[in-house]
Amino acid sequence: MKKIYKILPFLLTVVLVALPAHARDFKAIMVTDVAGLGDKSFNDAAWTGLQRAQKDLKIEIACLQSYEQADYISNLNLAAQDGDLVIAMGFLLAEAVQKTAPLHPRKHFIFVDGKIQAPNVASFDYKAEEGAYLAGIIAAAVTKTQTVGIVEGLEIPPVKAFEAGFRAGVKTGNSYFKKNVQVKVVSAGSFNDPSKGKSLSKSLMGQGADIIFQLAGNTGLGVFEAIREQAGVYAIGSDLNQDGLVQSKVLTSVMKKTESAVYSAVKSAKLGRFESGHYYVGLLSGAIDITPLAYTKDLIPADAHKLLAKSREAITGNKLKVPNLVEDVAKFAVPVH
Amino acid sequence: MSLRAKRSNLIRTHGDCFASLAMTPQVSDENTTKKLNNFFNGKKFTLENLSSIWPLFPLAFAKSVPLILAATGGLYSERTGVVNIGLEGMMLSGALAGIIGTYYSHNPWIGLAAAIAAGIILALILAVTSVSLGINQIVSGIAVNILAIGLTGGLLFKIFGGYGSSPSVEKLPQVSLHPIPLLSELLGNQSILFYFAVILVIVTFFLINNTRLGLRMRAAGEDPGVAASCGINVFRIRYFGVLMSGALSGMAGAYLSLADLSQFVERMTAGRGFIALAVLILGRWKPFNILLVCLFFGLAEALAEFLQGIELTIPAQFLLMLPFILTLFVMGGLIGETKPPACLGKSYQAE
Repeated sequence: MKKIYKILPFLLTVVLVALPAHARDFKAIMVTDVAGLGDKSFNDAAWTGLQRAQKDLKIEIACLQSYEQADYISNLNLAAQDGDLVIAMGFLLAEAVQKTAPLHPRKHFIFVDGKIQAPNVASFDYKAEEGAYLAGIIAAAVTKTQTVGIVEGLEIPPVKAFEAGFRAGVKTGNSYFKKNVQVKVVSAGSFNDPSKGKSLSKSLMGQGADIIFQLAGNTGLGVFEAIREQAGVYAIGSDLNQDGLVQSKVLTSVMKKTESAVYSAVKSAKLGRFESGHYYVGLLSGAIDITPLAYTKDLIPADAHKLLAKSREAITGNKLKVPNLVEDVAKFAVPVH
Repeated sequence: MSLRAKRSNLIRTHGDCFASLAMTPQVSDENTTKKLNNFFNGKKFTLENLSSIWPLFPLAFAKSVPLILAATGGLYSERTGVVNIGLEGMMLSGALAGIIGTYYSHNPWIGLAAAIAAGIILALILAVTSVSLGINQIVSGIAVNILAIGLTGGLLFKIFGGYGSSPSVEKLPQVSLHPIPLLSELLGNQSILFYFAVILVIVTFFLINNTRLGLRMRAAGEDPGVAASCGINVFRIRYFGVLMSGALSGMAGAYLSLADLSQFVERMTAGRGFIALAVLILGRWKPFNILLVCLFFGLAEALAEFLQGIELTIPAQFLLMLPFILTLFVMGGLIGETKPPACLGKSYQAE
């Protein structure tokens, strides 16, 4: 009897591994970085796009979550072997895609959040700073304590681009609304620790911040929890429309519309019209935008609405270049509209 | 004399004294002044403003709760001689079970019960494999952790139909000690599990040191052979220890998902089970030491997070590391040399 107990786990494993994966004609597989699905933002947005593609185009989809760096290359290889199209989500996967894509020349890769040049890779990079700039203006207009905070997951370039845009927006807001709003930035060191996100937000609130911009994936869910518990504080979401997570307490969200990018790329790949290359998209094409302020329109003063409209015009008309490096914010000259 | 006149008189006579208290740098080091002013939201850096460090304490206490629960759980197991590497996995499964229970019953207490049950089930795996079958405790503990990661992720998808995170549910109640002025300010609004954790530490202390059961637990951990020869059922005692650790780790997980947050996020324990294990060792397998280490760690972490908000030129990565180093050195130095139960980690087979 005892022996059965001993081999039971082994047998179970064998059965689980051997579960067959039957193939259909076209399969798109998404690979996440360590942030993972469920973040109600970046990865979930892409997954939504993929699910839409599944429905409309009758393709098969799957998702491989990476839990640590060591998973990246193996997941990408697995996805490339099993699927026709690999969707690599996140800047952290850049190097791994660079290494794996040439090994599977007949398969197509979509890489989101960075630039990769390879004949079978279409990479999308977002001017997140343009949307964050608008959010910064809103934050500067709404704050009563003259202090706003940012909770970051990891300090990586796409996150820093958000921060730079936000800081530039606050700077513009300061000059237009005659305020002196400070930006406090903290990092959780992880995209997957919501509890830490909550305590960091509370710590920022303790230091006077009444608006917190979350750039932290799943860690950011803790930011919303902290906002929910205290009166008079607001959050700003990122990547996906997060305004509904805590109604009328999320001022806006800076949307990175990975959904439409993924959808259209999958569609063209399915139809055999996959085009490799690099796409650097922003406010102009609608790939980056803030939400329509469904719950919070009245919280934002009228002059801020005016400034938002003017800034949007300036950015899409190529008259205003928002910095994407935090170091460049100091040099950023506030535009005169 | 009018009040204002009185005050100005007071300031005149005690002016120097106040000036030195105010700690505003007299030498015009522009940069430092600016930084210190940033420190306190543009106000001047005075003793009064130190009150902005006050909110650190409630945060620190909140941070220490899951560690206290899990480490005390680990104590039950390790005092009986079973190393419990699986704390992390038990926490994680407790966190998910808490959400599932609450989601279906709309009652967080039922969720808490489910969390405890889930912790016990995983602990049962550890107990059967390592106590009954004599498999290496570390190996089965690691198995429990890996199992929990896969199981929670899979169940989350099956039950809520989405990857990564669950919907939000009702939370466990928070308690504030309103009638007591100073203590209520120090603690802030804490989850009811915080008070439970403190009581648990006291109860555990008496259980281990002053009861027959405690004596048997210690005997099983120090020398199971001798214990058995005195008529103690070592297997039963070890099962009790391991299952208790499962129950308490499950509760620690429920604290994260049901009290701190209101939802489950995949791998949300983020290594806290392993920190609890380290706390247990630093605390020398003693309940009050564990409480002390947990509170200190919580405070160090809250302080590090507070310091991040001040734009000093210290990199965030260093500040994220700080609580671990501080705790290791300060608590290691304070509590001193560690001596584990003599037969910790050794499996016992009845002759």
